[in-house]
Amino acid sequence: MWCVRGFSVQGFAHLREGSPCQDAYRHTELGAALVLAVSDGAGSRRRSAEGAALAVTLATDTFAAVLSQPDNFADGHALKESLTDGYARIRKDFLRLVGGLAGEEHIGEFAATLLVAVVTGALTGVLQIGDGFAALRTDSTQAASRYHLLPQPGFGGEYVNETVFLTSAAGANPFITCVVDPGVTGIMLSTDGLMQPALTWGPGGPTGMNPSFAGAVLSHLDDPDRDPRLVIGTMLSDDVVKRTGDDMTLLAAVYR
Amino acid sequence: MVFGAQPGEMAGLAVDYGMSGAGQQLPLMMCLDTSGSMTGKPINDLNEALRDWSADLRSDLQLAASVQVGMVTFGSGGVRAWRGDAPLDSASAASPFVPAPDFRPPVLEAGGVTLLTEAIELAIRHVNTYKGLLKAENYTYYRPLIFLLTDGLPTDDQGKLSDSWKRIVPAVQKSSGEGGFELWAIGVGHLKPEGEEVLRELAPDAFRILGGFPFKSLLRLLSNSIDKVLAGSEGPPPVATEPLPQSIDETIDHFFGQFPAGQ
Repeated sequence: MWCVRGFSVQGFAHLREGSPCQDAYRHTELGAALVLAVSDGAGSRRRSAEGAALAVTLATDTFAAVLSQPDNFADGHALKESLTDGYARIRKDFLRLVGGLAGEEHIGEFAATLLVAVVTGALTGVLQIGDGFAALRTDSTQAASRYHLLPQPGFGGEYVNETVFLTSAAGANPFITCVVDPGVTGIMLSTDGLMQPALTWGPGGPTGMNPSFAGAVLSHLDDPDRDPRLVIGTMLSDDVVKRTGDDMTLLAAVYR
Repeated sequence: MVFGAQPGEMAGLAVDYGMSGAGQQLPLMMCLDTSGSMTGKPINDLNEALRDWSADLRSDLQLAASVQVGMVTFGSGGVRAWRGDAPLDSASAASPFVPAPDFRPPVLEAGGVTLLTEAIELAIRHVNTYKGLLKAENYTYYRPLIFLLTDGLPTDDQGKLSDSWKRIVPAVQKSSGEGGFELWAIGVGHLKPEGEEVLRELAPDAFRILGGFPFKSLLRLLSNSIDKVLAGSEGPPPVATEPLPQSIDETIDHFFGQFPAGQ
């Protein structure tokens, strides 16, 4: 069975300026299937925390309904199509709801990214708007081939603090990856706050998972007797904080 | 969520971060007027403020890890780039940017004329070169910030008022608009209305005229505003037609919002 743990900490820079954590995470389980979602509310937008909360709620509810129909995940192609269609509904509902709350001219105040993973049997589908990362652990015995950073959309711009949100014009086009592998034993979804400490980097961006980070977190969660708060301690460590001032959210699932 | 937990307070897992990203860099170019009108208390105050500020940068875990400080002065010694407290020869290819913990400000002297145009041009050249370096070394980085402080009107090298600054307005505004860098311009002392006009033209959305020489509070607010940049993501305009601020404009508002308009 899957065991899911979510961790969200206020970024150090947010802490100092007194702004709240604007990330959100949520998950839904349907038998052996899972829907995981994380969202990062834009730091400068007033209602982005609400946007992030709404995004993960809509995503988990929508894809839970998708998972209730077996035809939607008969194979990778069907899953990709279901993710595409589901996301179109999510975004339409999101814009309708926030437009109703604040007025059409203020929907940008709810700007938030979205990263969703749908796991069912041997299929894992990941949908991404904006930054953040998704990674899988497979049952390989070699550490180097055990942790897999899934492909990412290109960066939104030259600078690290530029990305795409659900409310952006480019937010209509999700980046979708489908994996067929019956040996997935762990999943990590994270907002961009953890990208520097958790990933390895090369020309043009991230190149993979730091296996030490992924291994430490997921193996810790494998053992139900270990204190999950140590993951929070890791996220608040000097080594992490000096690499990012942003909010950090990690939603992880391990198969026990 | 563990409420009330502070960075560094809780035990964590053993992780080797040697393979991880180095963090996100924010190039900050200080472009400072040290012309003759800064003689006396103003230059002394500026030196003291820089000394305190550099100590603050060193003691701040996050600013120390993220901010790279460069400096260009215009006044005594002409237009000069500094790498910490060491002046760079004009022919030097060395970068003036140093990590915040290594930044030791020079003891600046006042004198000479106000070659503001040439100073901004030099600052831009160094910023662009440094961006290329960061890119080549796989750093991710924030939009560079050029922080201009002046108390006078631009002059030529003979000290005569000059409108040479007009030649850089299109390039500065284009670069700001396209995201090459941000220019924040602060007028201090007894800046004349013509001086205000120069700053308005160079940085229409990011200038302020302050009475006196409040360098200490200015640099403290600068650090606070950099914190805001480090705090999160910005994005392109939303799908709706709302005239939302782009990029770090919210941070500019944060910084300039500390001062009543026209003060």
